Amino acid sequence: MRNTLAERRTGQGWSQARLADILGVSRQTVISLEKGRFDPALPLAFRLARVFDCPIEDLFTPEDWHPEI
Amino acid sequence: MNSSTTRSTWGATKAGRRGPALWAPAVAIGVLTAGVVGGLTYVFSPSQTPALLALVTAVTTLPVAVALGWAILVAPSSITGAVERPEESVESRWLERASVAALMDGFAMIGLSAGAIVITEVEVAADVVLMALWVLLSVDLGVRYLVLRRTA
Repeated sequence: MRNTLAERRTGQGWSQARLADILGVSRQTVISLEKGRFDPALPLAFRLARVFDCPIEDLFTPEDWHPEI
Repeated sequence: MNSSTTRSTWGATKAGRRGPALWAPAVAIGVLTAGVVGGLTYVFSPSQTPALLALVTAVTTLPVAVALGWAILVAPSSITGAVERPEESVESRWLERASVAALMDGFAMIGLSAGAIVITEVEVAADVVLMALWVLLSVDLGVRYLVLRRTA
């Protein structure tokens, strides 16, 4: 899952530790999230969206997802 | 964590309360658990001296049981640097994945060991087999967790 967390975090001027503290998770969690190696559970995804004041889909984009509607 | 509490090496404390007091409930759980284990040993032991065996078992169980009480009551939410939502952290995911993989390894180990023992007709004491299995699964779980952490 690709995401824009690193850009948004640095845009706020926050360190990874600061964001981790806000979210109530470990700093390693933020590192793994930003690297795209850890997909958050829904509660954490919603908190991220609230912290950055945007919809979840603006934060996360699934890889290789091409819906045929 | 409640804002009215402060973090210390010993756990969450209310203002003015000394940290080591937090050990009291952990020790209580430890004593209770060790007592139960000792009691079960006394009841079910075929030993000629069940009271002595129960006492030794309870005493040797006590440190682990106190650690268990501390882990249940104090550690999850209050030690220095603990996160508020460990269940949503990546470390929790690593542990979950390592545990599932170790469980699968355990099934394979038990099956292969049972098959080997049946085929070779080797007589092995049950306590040796169980202890070996416990050690192998513990090491398996630990190594898998470390690998996941290293590759994160």
